[in-house]
Amino acid sequence: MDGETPEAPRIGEETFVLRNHPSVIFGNVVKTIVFFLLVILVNSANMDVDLSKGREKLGDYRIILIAVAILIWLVILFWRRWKLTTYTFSPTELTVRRNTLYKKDVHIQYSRLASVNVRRTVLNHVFGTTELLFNVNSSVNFNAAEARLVLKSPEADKLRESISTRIFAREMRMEEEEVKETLVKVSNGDIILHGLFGQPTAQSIVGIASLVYSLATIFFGDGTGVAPALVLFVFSYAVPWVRTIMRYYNYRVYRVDDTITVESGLINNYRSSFNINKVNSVRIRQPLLARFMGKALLEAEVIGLADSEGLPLLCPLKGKDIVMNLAHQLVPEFLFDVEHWGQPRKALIPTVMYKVILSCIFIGIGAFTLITAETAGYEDDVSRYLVYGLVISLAAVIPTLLMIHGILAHGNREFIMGDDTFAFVIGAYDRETDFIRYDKVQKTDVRNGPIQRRFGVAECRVSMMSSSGAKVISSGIFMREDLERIGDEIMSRIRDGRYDYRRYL
Amino acid sequence: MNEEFAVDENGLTADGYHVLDPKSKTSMYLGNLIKCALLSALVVPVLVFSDDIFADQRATGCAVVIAFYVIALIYLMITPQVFYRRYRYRLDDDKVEVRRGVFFVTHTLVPIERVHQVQVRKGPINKMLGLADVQITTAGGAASLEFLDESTAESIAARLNECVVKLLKERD
Repeated sequence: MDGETPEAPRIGEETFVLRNHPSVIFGNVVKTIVFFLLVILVNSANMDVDLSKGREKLGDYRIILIAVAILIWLVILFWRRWKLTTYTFSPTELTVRRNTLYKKDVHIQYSRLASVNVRRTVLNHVFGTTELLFNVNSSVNFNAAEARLVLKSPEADKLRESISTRIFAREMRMEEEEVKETLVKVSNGDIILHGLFGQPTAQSIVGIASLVYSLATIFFGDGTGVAPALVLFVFSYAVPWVRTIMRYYNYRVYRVDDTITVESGLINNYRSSFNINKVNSVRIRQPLLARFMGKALLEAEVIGLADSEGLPLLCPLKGKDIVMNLAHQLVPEFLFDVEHWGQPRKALIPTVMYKVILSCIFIGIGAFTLITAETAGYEDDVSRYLVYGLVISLAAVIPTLLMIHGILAHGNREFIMGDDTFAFVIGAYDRETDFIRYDKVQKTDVRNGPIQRRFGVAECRVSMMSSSGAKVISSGIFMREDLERIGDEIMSRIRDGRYDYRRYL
Repeated sequence: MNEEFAVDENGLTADGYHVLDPKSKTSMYLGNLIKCALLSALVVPVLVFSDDIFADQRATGCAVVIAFYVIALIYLMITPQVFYRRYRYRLDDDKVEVRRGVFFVTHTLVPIERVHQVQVRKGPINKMLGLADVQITTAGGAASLEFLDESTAESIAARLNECVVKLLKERD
């Protein structure tokens, strides 16, 4: 049975074998050719090769013969790989076998699957196919699916329905999903705003500063340093913005029973479904500029979504009330209502002292720079003003920002313990609230430095498995014995049976 | 030293933590001696060629280098004693706890339920002194019990492995 079979059998009836749709051969050949062309172009540029001579030679039959031979070799190579790669669906597991030069035999228990996601690229649209991504709940291979299978779209939908029914323990119908109403209305304008203001403020500042510097140099200077600044702007700001728009355009999110589904995509379409029990933590994030606009975004830490874009987005930048409403509908298991519990007064001195020490270091570097420059003398007025600018930044701007950061952070930070989850509120300029399941914490570290010890306060770091490997989430500064209660609660849940591993399989 | 680090005549703290083998101090001092030698091998050439390296700023440059060198030496000399006196570990039926640190004191708690892998590691100095580390790996990071007597390390690792295997068997 291959990818063109119109009807895919349903899991659980009998063992059956599938093969990728033959269009993957075409896709692989095209990708390889594009890759080699890029390599040739880059090398030609680096080696200062005159490509026009190459163009003259294109008529040379030997070059055409070599190109055709390479093409045939590639087709045979990828055809062989396609032919010798099979996907065996038994009643309990999926086995991927590849018997080419590199042998592969991967067994994936359905019970270990976190999600079966859908991706439709331009090539998939052309051939009417769908790529299924099989993801295991593991921090190893976190950003790559354990198995990928391309099938004709109707067949892929049926197979996904069938496997998802096993994973999520409920009937799943693609036709139903397609008409399911999104829990939050997200316009494409929202997505554009999300791309602009959803990034961390530091990243935005670097990007915007690079752009301003480039423009200033072009219009008022001699153009020196434009290229690196533009590259920095493009990679730190423009590219993430465009990628975000491409990824989250046409955004929909909904929940059916315990299954959350997120759909989006401008050119490539993505559909990810995951069980609420696979969510380790939920985060409400407010970058500075978004906060001024009263907006927030909602993210979830889910293992095994095979997404290199970062945390799975549950809600792009929207009004904070809308985001909170959505969170109550989408992930109510993580939220709890208790009184806010801010940093104790005893934490103020350690918080500010730390900033004072850092400020002193910066002021010292600034003073050293000034003394050195004054001793050596200045070449011209430009270098004098550059040094003054640097010294003012080091000795005044940075210490002021650090002190404001300390005071704001002290006011913002919170630590709240609920029944099944606990929350850390952190940040000064950008703010975020993490709701974390006790049952998903792998290790806790309660740490205090010499100043904190004098006041009996500490910080807590909880280590978790995350969608990008291991991850540490840090608290603010609280009384040490209060933070120790996180570890105590984790242990008591294990001891009294409130933690049941089967719930998270 | 803080009360929480005080030990009784059995070498246990009031809440039942174990202390390190005194040989651990020798191991740390030997390790730091090697670090001192490496640091000196870097600093001495810098001072010898300070004319070329710092040019006009020779005096300032040398002063900064010597200051950092002296601070590093003092740190390397003092830390083994402080580390030894503060280091505590406790192994229960269901959790491992470690208290450690020189300036920053950390209390690490690892539920045995979350342990994926246990490894006993011995570096050349520890091997010479009959010491070993136990590395405990979870899905979210690793913790370690350091400078244990070899037999203690082996028995802790065996006990942890046994717990992990038992848990996995129960789940199968």
